[in-house]
Amino acid sequence: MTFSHPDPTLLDEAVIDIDHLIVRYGTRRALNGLTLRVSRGSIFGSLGPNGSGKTTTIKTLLGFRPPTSGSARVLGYDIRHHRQEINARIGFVSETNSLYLGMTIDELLSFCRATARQWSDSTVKRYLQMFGLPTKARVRHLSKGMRTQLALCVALGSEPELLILDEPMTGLDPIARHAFLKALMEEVAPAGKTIFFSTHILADVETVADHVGMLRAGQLVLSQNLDELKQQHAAAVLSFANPLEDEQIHALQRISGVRSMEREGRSVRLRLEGDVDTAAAALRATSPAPIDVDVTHLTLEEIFLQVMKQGEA
Amino acid sequence: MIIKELRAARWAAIAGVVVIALSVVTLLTTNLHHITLQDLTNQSDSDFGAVTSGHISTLSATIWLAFFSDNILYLLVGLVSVLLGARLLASEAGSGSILLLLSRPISRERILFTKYSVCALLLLALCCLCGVGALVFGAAAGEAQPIGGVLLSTLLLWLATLCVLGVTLVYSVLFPSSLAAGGSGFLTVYLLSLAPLFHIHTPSIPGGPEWSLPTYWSNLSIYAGATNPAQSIVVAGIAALIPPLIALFLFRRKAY
Repeated sequence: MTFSHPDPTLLDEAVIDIDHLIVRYGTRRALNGLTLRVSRGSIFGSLGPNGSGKTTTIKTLLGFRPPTSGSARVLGYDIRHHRQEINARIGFVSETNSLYLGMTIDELLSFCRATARQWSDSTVKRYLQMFGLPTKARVRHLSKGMRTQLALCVALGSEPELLILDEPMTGLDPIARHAFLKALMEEVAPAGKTIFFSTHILADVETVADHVGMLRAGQLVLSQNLDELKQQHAAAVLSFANPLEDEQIHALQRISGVRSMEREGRSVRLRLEGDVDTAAAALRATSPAPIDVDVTHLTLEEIFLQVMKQGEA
Repeated sequence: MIIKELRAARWAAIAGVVVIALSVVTLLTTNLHHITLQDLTNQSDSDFGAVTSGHISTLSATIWLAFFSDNILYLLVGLVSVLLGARLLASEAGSGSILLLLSRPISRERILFTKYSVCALLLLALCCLCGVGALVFGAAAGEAQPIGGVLLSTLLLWLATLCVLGVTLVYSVLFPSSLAAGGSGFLTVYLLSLAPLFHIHTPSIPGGPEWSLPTYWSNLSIYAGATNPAQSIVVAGIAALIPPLIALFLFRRKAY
């Protein structure tokens, strides 16, 4: 017997709760024991190289693809048994838009209204006006940017608690991308909806997300609040009067928070992780005293590349 | 969703109407009162035993041939059903719209059932057109057609279209291309029932007609009331039921 009501204890904690999920494509594991949690109200950016499992995660959550093993809950519902309950409460925008090209916008909205549990014409109208979409136009005559905007209107029409976006900004021109991001930041997120999106575009994550998850080879290798993440990753360049001896280099490496080091003449370039301020203070206090200590926080792209490189190692 | 499916099926439905119109034109250009049994056997491979045994006239047999056999069987059953079935899911998978469809709070069973039902009802309407055509031509020619025979032949023709629709639907689940699904469906149906090896009058196989689905789908003896239709209805019914059940089984497990 299956129950149609969600587990209320989970609703307070995680909108998406994935536990050791494995999904196979033939013999290859697209998801290899993925464990991931997305809190209610957060904007979660899922990052990863091609084939890391971003789209497979979304397809599995939406019931397009059955998991091989492991478990996952969306809004408290088990994805194996409550696909309709889940889909009634989420909005989905796919990379390919997946809209019916032969329909007019009005016809598409009628179809979506007829197949939704709940539908808000006023919400859809508001977003259509915001994007300036002509309702009599056929979908095939819209630009890629307009189709993505329309897909967002459709997704929001059913008043979802959770919005899942699979690389929605891929291929959009800067103006369309800006309009889409603006809608997410100024309209969707303030309404308290949880947003889970995957993307290749790191700048979009930095603009929109408050939480980042990095996937590699079907596993989550990092999941953290974006501000904390950036706060905890830095690069330091120490300049000395004379080139350091090997012993002095080893002493620097032993300082807590120092992750890697490159020697460049009388300078030393270090990567710091964790409590960056304490590590920087320790570096300044080292002997021989550096002439100059320059600490800069890493960009998300730099952190991403570092994390991926660590995974390869 | 029903409106969307009707809109998508409109071209296949128009093709079906054209096929029936061809039969009407054929009959209009034929002098029904001068058709002989020899003409019929020259024209078709169908079994005209009911004419020989005196259960039905050559005129009625000609009308049956036009609306329930030959062209109708090959074109309406073999082509229009394939056209309808091939696009049902393959076109959605090919265009990517299957993702929108599956992200709606509707069960896969309901999606398939709705799509299949719309096509099945369209095919029923086309088969009924054949039945009405037979009745109208019979009345116009001054020879009322057997109502029971017309109804049974319409039912069997519909079950034939459903079988082919179901077979093509199976391929439509498997392939993300309407062309591949349609081609595979057509080939399968051809191999199973329309190829000479399995055709009604194949003498090379012991009990050849019994192994040929068209024997059950299109039978002049049933039209004439000379044969009990139960076996044909059961065989055609089972043949119509199995393919969509296989399609449902596959669709429930299909990953996109």
